[in-house]
Amino acid sequence: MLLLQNLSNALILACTYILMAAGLTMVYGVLKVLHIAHASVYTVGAFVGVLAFTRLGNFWVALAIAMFVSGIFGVLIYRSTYFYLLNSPRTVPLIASVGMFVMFTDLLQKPFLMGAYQRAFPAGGAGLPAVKTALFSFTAKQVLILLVTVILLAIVYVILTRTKLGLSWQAASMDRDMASAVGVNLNQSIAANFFLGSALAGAAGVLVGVYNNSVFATMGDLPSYKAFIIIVLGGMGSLPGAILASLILAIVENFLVASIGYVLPRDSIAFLVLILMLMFRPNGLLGRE
Amino acid sequence: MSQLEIRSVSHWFGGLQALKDVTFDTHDEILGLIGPNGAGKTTLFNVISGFIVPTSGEVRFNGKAIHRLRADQTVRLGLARTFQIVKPFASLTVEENVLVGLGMPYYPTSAALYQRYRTRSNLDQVEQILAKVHLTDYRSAQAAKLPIGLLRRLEIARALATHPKLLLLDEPAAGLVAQEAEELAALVRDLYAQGLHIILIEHNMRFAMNLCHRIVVLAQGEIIAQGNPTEIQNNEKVINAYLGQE
Amino acid sequence: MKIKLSSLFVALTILSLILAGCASQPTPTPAVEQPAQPQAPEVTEAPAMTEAPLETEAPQATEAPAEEPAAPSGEPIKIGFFSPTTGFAAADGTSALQSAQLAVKIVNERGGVLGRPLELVYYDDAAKPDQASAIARKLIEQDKVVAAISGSYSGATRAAAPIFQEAGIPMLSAYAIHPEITKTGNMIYRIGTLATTQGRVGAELVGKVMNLKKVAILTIDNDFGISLTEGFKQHAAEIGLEIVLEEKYPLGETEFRPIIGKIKASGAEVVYATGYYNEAANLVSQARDEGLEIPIIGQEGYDSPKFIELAGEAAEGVIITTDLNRDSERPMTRLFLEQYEATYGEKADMVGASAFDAVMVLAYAINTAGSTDPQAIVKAISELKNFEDVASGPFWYYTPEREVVRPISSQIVRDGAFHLYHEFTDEALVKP
Repeated sequence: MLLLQNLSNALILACTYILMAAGLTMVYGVLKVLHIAHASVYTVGAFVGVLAFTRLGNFWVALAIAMFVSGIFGVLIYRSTYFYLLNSPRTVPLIASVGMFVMFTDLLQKPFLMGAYQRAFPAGGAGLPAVKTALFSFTAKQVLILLVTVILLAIVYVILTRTKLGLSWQAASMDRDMASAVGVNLNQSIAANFFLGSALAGAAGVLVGVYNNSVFATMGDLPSYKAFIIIVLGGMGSLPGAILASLILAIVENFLVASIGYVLPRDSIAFLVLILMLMFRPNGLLGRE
Repeated sequence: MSQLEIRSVSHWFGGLQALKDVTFDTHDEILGLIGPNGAGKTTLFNVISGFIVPTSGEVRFNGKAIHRLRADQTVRLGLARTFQIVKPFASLTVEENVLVGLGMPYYPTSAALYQRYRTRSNLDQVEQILAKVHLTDYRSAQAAKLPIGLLRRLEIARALATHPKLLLLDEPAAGLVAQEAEELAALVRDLYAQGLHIILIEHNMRFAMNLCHRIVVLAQGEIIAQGNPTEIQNNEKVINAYLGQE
Repeated sequence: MKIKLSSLFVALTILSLILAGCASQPTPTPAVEQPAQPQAPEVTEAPAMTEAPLETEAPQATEAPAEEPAAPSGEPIKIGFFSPTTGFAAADGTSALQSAQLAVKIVNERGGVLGRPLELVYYDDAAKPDQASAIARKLIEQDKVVAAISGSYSGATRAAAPIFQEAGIPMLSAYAIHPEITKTGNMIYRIGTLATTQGRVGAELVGKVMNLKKVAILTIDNDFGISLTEGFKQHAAEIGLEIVLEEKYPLGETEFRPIIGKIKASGAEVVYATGYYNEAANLVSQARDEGLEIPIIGQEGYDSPKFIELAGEAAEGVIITTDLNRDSERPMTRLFLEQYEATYGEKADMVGASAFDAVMVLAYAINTAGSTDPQAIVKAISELKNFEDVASGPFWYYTPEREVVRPISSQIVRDGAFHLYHEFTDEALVKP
């Protein structure tokens, strides 16, 4: 019973990782850029979400606004930076991304933005019911996270595999020039890709902000590397891989802590898993690169 | 109806001049573009199809200036091209490879957000295109696994998916055995008969001479001769250019 | 349109870089603070007094005196102050600074020190030891302060203390807990309660006041948590408590559910958990979510309105050991609580009370000494008896190890605010 409860908690933890990693996978898949600044979009999403929630009182509206603003923010990042670096060697956009991430984090800590404090995000379960069975239970907040994650993933999956836009992403991820040669408008396709990937990051930020009831300027520091570890684990550019890796990581983290306590910081487990993975299976679980 | 006008196109890659004042017209024919290695043929294709903006000069397609357009924009106008080194979308099937081109030129991205690509009408069109290039049997095969001969046909199928008026083929017979080359020539004639205007870069002299109505010869970035195959074969400058190669 | 958007973005980027580079005050701009940095926070011990408090010889009573005191005039007397107003500890650092500034205002309203205005020279150390060291040197050499107060965490305070000691400038540690701080030398005194003492009081609270026996201990993995737990376990052994589970967790941890599961399975009747308000808020709300209903005992790390804000309803019923008794009838405590809230619009916390008290003690010491001579100041502090002019007092006396002995309070969260639960006045228990 304790086992099942741990498992269900791990599932929710995984959801918070999945949305972040899914957005990153999408962006990496098409652009092949290690978009570290994705974590800044995550933080901005949480911030806009808590502001909107405080003003308007409705979680779902706040989530929608946060996702939209995050999407726009992501597109701005793309158009102002990566757009010009599409044909540069891969380290150049990486450096630009790290630079942007550091700059945004610093900017967000200014008093007129997020300041140095934590802010509460008391959305609770947004009116959803808790789920209690004999074997395990989900609090209302956990139900909320599960629901939002599943819905968003479903939408992304459909777009990716069934629409022309998704097909253009698949083509562009394999060969950008060829995609262009058969008529794909790369600008629009990549911008849309960034918009959606960033909206997912914003949603992840909102969900984590609600789950831990705190939003703060440096909340992106941890996800900035964890999301990357997850997509490397899952196989770069593979969405199912990212989902699987998120689940595995969350389960490992939870069970390790539950059995031997915090012998090493929970967040460092991801690094260990990464090292092991790179040693034995460098393509990740489901990757093909 | 397809009219391509190339006016004084020159292009420098840094200090190296790849194209020198190239000027010619072509319309509604099978045109061969030949010349020794490094003559600038593929560069010219890149200029025409929008992968390169020429340093100077103009290209007009059906009266519209296209030399500053992006590749996907030229595709929208009816210009399709294949590449010397075949690069299919490796993880997609043959069918999907063709589907990519099918939807793209005709819809803005916002509609692409919710429009399915696997529609009945699209699949029918794919069937027709694959039939034309004799790839029907390989419909569900993964592109990465096909041999070169089939890949070349896939290239053409992909280009056809965009419903072009002018088709630029870059060394379509390279790597093909004699019989495959014959089939390819038949396909090209077939496409022409159906109203497609074709420009062909080719190294295989016999192939080009047998297939093309007219030939343009490029050497070191300049046009050194134009004319029908017989004239070209007997042209001294052309012979010298090729002898110099060997 | 394309070009415009990206130019705008580039312009914003440049603008923000300029903003980031410009610091408006003379404080060094801290780098991005990682929440996972193991900074030992300050925890102070309150020594206990067995004798009934005598009348203090404090300069003025806190009620308004019969006549208006003369406004201070002349060259200001400067005391140095540093606290983290940026970075992960910003809430505590700001509370400390604001409280200290309030104290300075009150001191000056009563006539200042030696008839001269008291001035606080302040710098932000972001709770970083290297910055604290630099600030210490600056305060001594550039600003030439007569004494200093650390409103920062243990790590930073430990870095600054030797510098003040060597220069012969008195330094008061407001709420830094680490035992080593006062051991630095005879110039260094502490306002807050030493961790091991507070830990002992925690065990007394659990065993004798709440009459519970089986304890699960959750320790934050730094000097603060470890020394608190040490004190707890020491006294727990003396009074026969049973430790059914003991776990450590890293600073900045946000996910406690796996541990909560273990606590539930261990049969514990109460949880003794050390941490700061971030971790505490997460622990407490996740515990209640997961159905863990047993009492949770915290310490002064929880003592902040932020804890209640972030934990929400889950904070109700949490009990903490701390120095600040919100229900106290003592005039100076009431004055501090009321004026802090009136001035800053927020409730005060223990960190602020300690910083406030540090200023009050220094002002008293300088006035008593009759001069700004460091030795005289330090002598006045060491001879202080039954000092009432402090918010977290009364201060009964200072031990030879320069720790203050005073009652320790425990507070419980009721209706979204801290209230008195039990006060510990047994000198043997509360003396460091």
